[in-house]
Amino acid sequence: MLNSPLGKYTTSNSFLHRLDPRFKIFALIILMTSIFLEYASRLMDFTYYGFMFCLILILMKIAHIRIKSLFNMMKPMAFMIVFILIINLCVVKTGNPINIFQLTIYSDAIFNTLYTFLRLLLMLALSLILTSTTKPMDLTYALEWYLHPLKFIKIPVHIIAMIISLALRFIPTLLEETEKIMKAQASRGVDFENGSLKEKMRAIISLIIPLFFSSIQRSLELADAMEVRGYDPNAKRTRYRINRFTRVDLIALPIVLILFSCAFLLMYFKINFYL
Amino acid sequence: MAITFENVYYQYKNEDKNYSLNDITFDLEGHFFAGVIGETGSGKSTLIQHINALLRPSKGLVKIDDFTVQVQNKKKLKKIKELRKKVGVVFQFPEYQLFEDTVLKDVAFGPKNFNVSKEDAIKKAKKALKMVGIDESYYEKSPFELSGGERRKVAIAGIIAIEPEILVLDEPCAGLDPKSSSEMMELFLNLYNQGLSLIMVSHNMDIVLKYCTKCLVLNRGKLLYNLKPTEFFYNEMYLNTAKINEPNLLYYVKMALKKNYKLDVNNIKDISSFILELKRCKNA
Repeated sequence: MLNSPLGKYTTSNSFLHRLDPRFKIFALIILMTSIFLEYASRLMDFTYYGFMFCLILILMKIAHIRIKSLFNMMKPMAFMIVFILIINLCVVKTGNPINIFQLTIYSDAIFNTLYTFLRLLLMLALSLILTSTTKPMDLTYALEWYLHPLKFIKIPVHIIAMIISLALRFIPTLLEETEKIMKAQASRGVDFENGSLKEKMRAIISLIIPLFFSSIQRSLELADAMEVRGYDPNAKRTRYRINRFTRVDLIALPIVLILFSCAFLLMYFKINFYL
Repeated sequence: MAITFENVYYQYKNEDKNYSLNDITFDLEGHFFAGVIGETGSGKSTLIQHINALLRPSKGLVKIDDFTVQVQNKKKLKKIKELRKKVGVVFQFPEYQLFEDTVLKDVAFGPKNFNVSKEDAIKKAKKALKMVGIDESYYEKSPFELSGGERRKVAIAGIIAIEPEILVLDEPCAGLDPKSSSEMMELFLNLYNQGLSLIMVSHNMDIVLKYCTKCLVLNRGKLLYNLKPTEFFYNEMYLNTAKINEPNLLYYVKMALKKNYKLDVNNIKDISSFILELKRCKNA
């Protein structure tokens, strides 16, 4: 329950780990776009998803990410998928009607749900690869780089980047804190799992208020600690590690571009199977 | 009142092969004030969380009177609640668990969770607050406007108000000034004299020597010794094996022993008992 929803960084020196984080973000966006393109036929769509899924499995193998973490990530999705299926079944009235126990179900409802499920699955898997092969800090630096143009309209990009990196840094701390407070309240007789809605509300309140209090206190302390060490938000920042576009990126860039172009051409010219 | 650990192993999920608790077996019976000591990371906190089933052993079993906590033992909730009523745990820095809008309400929160009526809960809360030395002028204050030390007292009152039979304390004096710290210890001694059994994790060996009747020494997840504090602390070999720093008092006791005082170390628990013992030797 207290695991972070997106994957944690895993230390390794794989091909994917060595890629420039800026490139990895670019590739993520490109590949996600290709998932959301609409191809000539349903069969074509599913073929492409299947291909992407195989690609993702290969990438996960290369990056030493365990397949299990993908399943763990999907568990919380189950409820949402069921919900979407029910909504679809009620709303969608196109496609072939199928009769089950006096209920008429339309095939499109099921396909729509399947689409949502597959797209979400692929998207989450891609982001899992990104987050488990890139350090959060590198990720924020890359984001900062992409937000660079905003500087010209006087948006303080480096401050935003600092805020993001601090927020990322404190996610594990916050989770630890949550666990500690949950345990403390559990020994005061709070039950976080069972009970009526009212009892659950009280349980959550007993967790959230101390959490807020300690977070605010911690952020004040952090601000002091940063100021004591001479942090000036407006100063120009330098950093220890600089992202460089290296040979590995040069190899990976054309692969991603070709893949996307193929996907784009498939969509644009409505290429289909001719059976 | 009896706590029994039988070959308890515990393993945090992400660690491979490393047991946080490794074959722990002991029992505590009757009326006790047990100290749990050991280096950082030796499994003290993991151990005490087993006593009210916040953690369940990976192997082995824990018995608290007639409650048994086992691997994946999906007992009905009511029973766990009964266990948590019996064993109150005060975590490290408990001041962070306060959340109600007034001190009195926060202390009454615990008993109310254990199905005590509102009036009785308030009564118990007032009694507990009186014990820890928080007077009536604080009752309607917000816990967040109090000082750190006062907040800790309120948090501890929140557990005492549940009226557990065993009180488990994880470093109750960490970060307190010496005066509050000794006030705190006097409070626990008072509770002990009223019939409560206590288990306390501490890094302050002088406190363990002075107050505890039993002393569980942990090292890397293993239980090395389960002895009386005097038996443990006055044995150089034990201290070295457990990598525990001697209490400050020991320095002076050793000096006196060097000067051929025939001290009975079993009687020396703190400075006053040390002086009594010195006097007795001089007279003899």
